[in-house]
Amino acid sequence: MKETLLNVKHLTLGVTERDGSVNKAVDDISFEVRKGEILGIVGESGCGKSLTVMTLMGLMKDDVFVMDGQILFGQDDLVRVTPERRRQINGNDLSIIYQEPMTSLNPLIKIGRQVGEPLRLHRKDLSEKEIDRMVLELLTEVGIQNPGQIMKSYPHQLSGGMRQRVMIAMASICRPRILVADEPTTALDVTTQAHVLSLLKRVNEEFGTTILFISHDLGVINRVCDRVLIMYAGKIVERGKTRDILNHPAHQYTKGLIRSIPTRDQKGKDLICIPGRVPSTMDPREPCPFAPRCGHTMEACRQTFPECRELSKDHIVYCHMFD
Amino acid sequence: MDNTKPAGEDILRVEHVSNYYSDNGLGILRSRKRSQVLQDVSLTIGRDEFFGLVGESGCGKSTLGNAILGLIPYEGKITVAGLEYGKVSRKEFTRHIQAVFQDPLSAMNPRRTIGDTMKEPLMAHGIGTPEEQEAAVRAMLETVGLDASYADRYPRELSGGQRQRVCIGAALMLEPELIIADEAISALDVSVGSQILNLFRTIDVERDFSMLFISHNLNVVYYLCDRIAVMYKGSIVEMGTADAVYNDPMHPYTRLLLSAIPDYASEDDGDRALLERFRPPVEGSCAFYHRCPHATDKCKKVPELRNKAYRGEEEHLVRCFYL
Repeated sequence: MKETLLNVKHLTLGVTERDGSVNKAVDDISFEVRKGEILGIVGESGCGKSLTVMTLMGLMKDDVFVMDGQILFGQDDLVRVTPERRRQINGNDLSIIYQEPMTSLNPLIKIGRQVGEPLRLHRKDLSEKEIDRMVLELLTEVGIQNPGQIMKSYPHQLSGGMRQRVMIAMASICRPRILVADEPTTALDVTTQAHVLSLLKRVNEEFGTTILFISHDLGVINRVCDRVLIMYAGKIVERGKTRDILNHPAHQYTKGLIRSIPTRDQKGKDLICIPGRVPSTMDPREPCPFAPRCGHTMEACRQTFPECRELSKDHIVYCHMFD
Repeated sequence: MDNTKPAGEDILRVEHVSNYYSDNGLGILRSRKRSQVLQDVSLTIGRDEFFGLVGESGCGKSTLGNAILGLIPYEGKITVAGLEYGKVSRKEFTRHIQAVFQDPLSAMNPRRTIGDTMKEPLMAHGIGTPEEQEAAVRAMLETVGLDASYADRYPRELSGGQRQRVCIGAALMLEPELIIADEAISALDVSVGSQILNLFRTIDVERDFSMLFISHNLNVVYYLCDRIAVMYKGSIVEMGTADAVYNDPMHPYTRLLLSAIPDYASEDDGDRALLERFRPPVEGSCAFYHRCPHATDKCKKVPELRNKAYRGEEEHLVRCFYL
């Protein structure tokens, strides 16, 4: 059994709406991240996946707050760390790359200086020369062909794929225990995406970096993730090994997501869609938030959120159909 | 959308269209450069045909869409339903061609109700009495799967998918022969996007219209369209029936694209090397020369589009010396 690096326990996040009322955006979720794995979080807009990782990083917006729960990371509970401790952790033990690298990179500072910044902050024992050397080495490792020139360039001079490689370098340079990737390839061309996904796998295999990978794209999840959790409207509905989930989806939402993707043999036929739409935080909800769209709703679904059911080793589902 | 060859005149004829923009550079050393975006593009779309235009960023697919809509200048000839932009008034032109873009929210006036937005094309062309216009709006709302009460709502009250339905409805109000859909589902959740795909198919059965479906997603394009053109750096590199291009891809770039798409159903680890090989670019060569796994000295010139289909089969054009 692999060691647990991160333990999210009964995390509930509240969001303050425009009219002052408070609703739950993430509702009592629990999961573990195991050392060395790539864990995927899949869900559509409003499921809470981005809010969850933002809370992990301590980067929530003003209208989001933790109502309950813990995020245990080593000796720390990330929900309750002091700002000083948070500054020691971010960029160092825990780092993040986003969908849009242009907004993460400072447009006025050269690449070399930016990629070296985490080292300057967290490794006071290193000289400037050593830092520059490590930046050059890492830029080469992430597949940049002319690292010396890139170090002297500005972000706007790089393509989207190159910027994302730079981001990965910057997020990896302190060898974090966990790297969070929030939709890192969604804005990239499919051929560039393929390169960046390969790079992330290499970072995982060669540096041993554990990765938490957020995406809405099941194809991408299949390509990189060992395990995946499926979220819907603030809840985790299913969790397991990627191949298990994709081959034997248990939850109706997971099945619906898979059926929404056109495959080769579906040309000429209607796609089986999930009717309706994802509820917003302001919409009233049943205890199981998927009940209105499920098609197999039972009385129990309107009374309680389902218990966790273990279907096989490492495959769990939250659905009353398995009671 | 049946499989018989559409009879009658072409709804869209694009003939030898090129497009340039001035790229003067920034800073002290300004050079007067003209960059060519579209390189001598030609294609036709028949009646009641769905035509997919695929390519990655920078290939010119959106530029071509904008040229067809008469939104940007170009060299060459474009006729829609027999009418040439510039030879007829814009008003007349827009009775035959409409567009649906990627971001429905920015396409609608936030201060107008849905009903007013959808009525506007009718009012602009002086079609129908106010009662008839209201009735037409209600009928169209039903066609796009929205309740008639939505006519009184504002865009901000609708979800992304609902807004896109409104934009599709607004585009159909004048019963144009051609709709340009530019990344129409790319910004939507997967489950919502599949609803929109079904909507296009349903409307297509009820009405006679052609669509130029521009997308970077080859799977979706294969699913929805009758014919596909693949663009790379401003020119069409492959064009044929959806079946031919997707299941028997000939151009090395098309093959690269197909190999790069992550497949949620694939069992293997998928870490196959991408079908590309890099070499220093050569001026005046085939646009794909610098990445092509098969390039030879022959490829230092720009190839013509040649028909590689067997006799009696539908045209399958490929721009490549290798075949």
